Amino acid sequence: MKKRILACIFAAATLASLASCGNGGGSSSSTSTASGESGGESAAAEVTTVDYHYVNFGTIAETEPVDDVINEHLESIGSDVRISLHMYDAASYNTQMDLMISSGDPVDLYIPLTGVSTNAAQGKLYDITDIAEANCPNALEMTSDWLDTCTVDGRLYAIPVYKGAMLQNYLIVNKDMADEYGIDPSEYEGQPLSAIEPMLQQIHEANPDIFPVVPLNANAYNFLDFFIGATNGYKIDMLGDRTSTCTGCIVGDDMTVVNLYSTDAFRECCELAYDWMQKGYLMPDTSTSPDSASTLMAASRGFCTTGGYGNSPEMMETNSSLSGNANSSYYVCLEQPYMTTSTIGVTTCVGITSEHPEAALRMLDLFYTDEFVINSILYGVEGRDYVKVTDQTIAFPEGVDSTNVSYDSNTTCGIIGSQFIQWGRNVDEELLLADREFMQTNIDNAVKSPAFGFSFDATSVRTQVSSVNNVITQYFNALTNGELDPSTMIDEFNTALEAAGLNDIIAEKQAQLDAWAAAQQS
Amino acid sequence: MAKAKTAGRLQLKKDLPLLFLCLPGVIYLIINNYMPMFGLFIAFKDINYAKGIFGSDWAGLKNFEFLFATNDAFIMIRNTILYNIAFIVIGTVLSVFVAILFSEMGANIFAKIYQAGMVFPNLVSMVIVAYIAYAFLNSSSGFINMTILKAFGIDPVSWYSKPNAWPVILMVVYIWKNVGYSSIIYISNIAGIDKGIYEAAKIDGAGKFRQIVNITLPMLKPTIVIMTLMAVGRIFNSDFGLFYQVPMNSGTLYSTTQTIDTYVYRALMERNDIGMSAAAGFLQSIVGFVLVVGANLLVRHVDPDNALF
Amino acid sequence: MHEIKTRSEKAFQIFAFVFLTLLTIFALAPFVLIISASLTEENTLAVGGYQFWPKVFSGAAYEYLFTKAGTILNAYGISIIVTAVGTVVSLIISPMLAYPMSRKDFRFRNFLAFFVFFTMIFSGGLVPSYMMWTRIFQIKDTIFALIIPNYLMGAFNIFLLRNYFTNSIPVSLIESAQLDGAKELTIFFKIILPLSTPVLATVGLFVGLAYWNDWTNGLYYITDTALYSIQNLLNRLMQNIEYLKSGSAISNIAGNIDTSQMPSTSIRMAIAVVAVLPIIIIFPFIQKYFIKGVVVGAVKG
Repeated sequence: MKKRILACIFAAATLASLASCGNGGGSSSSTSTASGESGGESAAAEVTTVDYHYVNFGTIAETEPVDDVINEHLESIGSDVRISLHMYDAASYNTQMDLMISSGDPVDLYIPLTGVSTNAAQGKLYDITDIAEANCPNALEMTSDWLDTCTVDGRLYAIPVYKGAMLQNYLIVNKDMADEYGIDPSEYEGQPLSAIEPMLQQIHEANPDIFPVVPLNANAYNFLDFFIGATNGYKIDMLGDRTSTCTGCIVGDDMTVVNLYSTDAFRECCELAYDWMQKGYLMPDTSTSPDSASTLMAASRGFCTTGGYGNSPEMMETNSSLSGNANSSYYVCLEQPYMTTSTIGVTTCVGITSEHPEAALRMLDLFYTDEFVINSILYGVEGRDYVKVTDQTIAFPEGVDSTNVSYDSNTTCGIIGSQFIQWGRNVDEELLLADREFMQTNIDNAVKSPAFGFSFDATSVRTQVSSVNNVITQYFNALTNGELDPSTMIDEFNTALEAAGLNDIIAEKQAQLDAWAAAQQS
Repeated sequence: MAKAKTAGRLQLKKDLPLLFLCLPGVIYLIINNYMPMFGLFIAFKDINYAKGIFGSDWAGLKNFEFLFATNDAFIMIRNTILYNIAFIVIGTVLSVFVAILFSEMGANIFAKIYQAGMVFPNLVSMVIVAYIAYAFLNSSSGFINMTILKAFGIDPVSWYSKPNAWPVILMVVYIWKNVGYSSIIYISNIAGIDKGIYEAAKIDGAGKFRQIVNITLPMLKPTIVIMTLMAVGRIFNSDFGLFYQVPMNSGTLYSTTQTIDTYVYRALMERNDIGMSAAAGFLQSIVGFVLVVGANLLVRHVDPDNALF
Repeated sequence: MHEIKTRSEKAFQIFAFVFLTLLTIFALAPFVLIISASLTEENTLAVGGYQFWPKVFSGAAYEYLFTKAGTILNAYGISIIVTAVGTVVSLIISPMLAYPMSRKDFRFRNFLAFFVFFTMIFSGGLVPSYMMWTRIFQIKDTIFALIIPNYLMGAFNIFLLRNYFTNSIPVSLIESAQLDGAKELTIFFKIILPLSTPVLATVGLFVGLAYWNDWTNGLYYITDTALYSIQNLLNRLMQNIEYLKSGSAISNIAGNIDTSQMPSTSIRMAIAVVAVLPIIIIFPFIQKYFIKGVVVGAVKG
């Protein structure tokens, strides 16, 4: 009996905690209006600390010293917001954000990596439509062309990161080997991927032990990924999905949603891969290999690879260690990329549990305008973690390098604020400025999909989406890596997709797209 | 009536010290395991974070649908159950066998080294195991292709696209990782057998084999029964690392490597839907629960001393 | 005690020795591979694959780890504290629960058994547990987060213990102690526990290994790097790499990220070696308890 009473007490306590978390979103509005009123000149009187949760793909470091330098700076410029940084590694980020939001812990600013529409449908995001203009005008203005991608049912839920989003379809070639065999990869500039075949043939004939094409990343990488969806040649818009998760796309200007995996483009790509695999140009076991291009090319076992990067070839050549530590690579841009909603993949949002969403947006605005704030988040404390070299470039201080630096989050560069005010480390300032120019030009000249800005809310067909995703993982990598014979397997793949309910998703996607298009017209 | 009451009070007085002994453990289980169980509701909710777990709308059985939406359902359930049965049978036989051999070796230096050696695989994370397996199996530099098959003049085999080979490969990895570890349970049980019984049997002229069959195995029976009952409770579950990492997530192998856990992971990777993953967990639990309760009834009927409860 | 062995006994012993030797080689061969890979020059690994003896020897992986010595030693410290405290507490409360369950004259034994069994099958899931531990008990980013959730007591170990108490400890022993007027607690601590060293050693080993191997508590409840355990450190590295490779949403962004900045294969292998080493060192000290066994008669007399 006693035990039962005890159990009841505990259950009640748990319920109470749940009830309080359910209110998280509601109670926040009262505090935020208070701080909202105090914005402007009287800011110094009342300051609000904003939690920023972000990913670092390198070493996780202590963030307090960086908080201190940024907050000192914020005080000196009379801002009414202060920052509290929370750094996570990629593996734990999504889990942590879900756990924190579902249990009602306040999350002010975070990056919804699973997509704005999914997160908004799950109720994780704070609707910023009415408070954005007043609190983050600069961010809004800078990203005005891209805001549609963060809008669900006419409501704004996030602000895109402003960066070199037009990832160029790079061909990356081992320089030493190319020189040795007298190959000049630059002749393939602007060409489709299939054009590089003569080069692969030459390498394969000269040395059969070398894999002409190796996977950029290990395990489950597919070298054709960028080329099916991301080129102006095919003009495929996956409507917010990626090639490996596509549940319906449109081709060119035709607004009819079709199955990507039954398109001619997909078939051509798979046939090319299969052909190259048969000829020995691709590495066997590409889908499963744990070795990546960086090791294979450095070990002179791989000749070239493909990948998407926003930066200019010159920047890539000086700054990337992809081809190993000592030797370098040629970077050649193949076909131009195509701009779709998927291109603008990274955004920052205010969590539903935030206690001061307006202050959060004022902080977010600084990520787009304040060099010191954003670069401190990337590079840490001046003097300890970096020294300024020129106005826009920095270097490690004496005796410090990437292995022993106290704080370094430069891998966060692509997921925060504006990339165009970020300093470069160990690069020439001219090169850095040229690189920004390169990225900006690509954005300005981008060929846009007619459905740019549309994103799909899969909630009503989530059963089908999960089954379809499973079928895709079963066939996609092996097909695009040339390990399965497309003449029979593509049909089998599509039969399985239809059995898993792909047509339901396509119908739903079409309905949402039509509604979106109608709303754009009016 | 009064008599019964006194008897009850006497019994309670007798039970009190034992109740006191269990108290810390019971409190821990209530906090750690029973309090969070309201989460079982998540399986039936359309979770919206803004509304909270209790405020979210009921979804009925909608969260369960994705598990049965395709013909993959049959494959993954079949695989999960068959692998588990194989693991239970072969794992138990081997563990008991190894334990008996160890008890024969006695407490010499070899036994110590060997035992430490056999526990080691349990310490290696599955990601590392996957690398090791790849080192053996890959087609360009793997041992099996480059050393063993070459020696017999057989052409290299592309193991990561040969579904038929994987039941055997996964079995070997499972045995490698678990048998040494679980044999410890039986070793400690054999150590708990009164040595006097063996001495008596020896005097009666029983040979080694008869001693094992007539003494050791019957003494191990309760442990084997309990271990099996507990394993049956997890018959719908699978070691995610073994079935996802070790086959390197190769799609070609799904027909023999897809289990309920890997399916759920792959299906929900994009949306991260806690309602649907809770539904999968709930289903696994219910099946395990029903099977164990059933099996336990059977055991209780045949051999009441060895029942789980 | 050194009686003459019969022929069948000798033959069996030789068979046992040979068989276990082979099995041990089977168990350890991959470990040799891991050590060898950790000592092989990175490019050689990519070209020639893993070898049992490094083709081109290189200590670079360990040199790299040495630059992180502070972090690694700290993580070792955390792991050791967590494992030691968790195992000791578990070894106190688990038998205390299991013993009454083994007593046939205890009225609640079956209810308790079911109560424990139920926790093995059903779980509320991560989100409710996280809510409870962080909001009611506030253990996030404390060392308690690594010790208390999940591992302090498990149904599996409880049943192992109960099974041993039921089958390996003669009821007559308890009854005669009761006749002598011994109290229940005295019987438990003075008679039952000393007779149970093999199973206590086994459960202690299992709990210890579970704590040592655990990285999930760290993943959910720890964001403070000073509280990373060694497995947490290792797994975060590994999971990050796996995650970027997995083709999930984040790899989109990772398009910009060089995986070459990730630790190389040899470093990963070196970390695996570093994580296993202490257990291999400690193991012989625990081992003698479950290998030696007990002689019930001796205690009886």
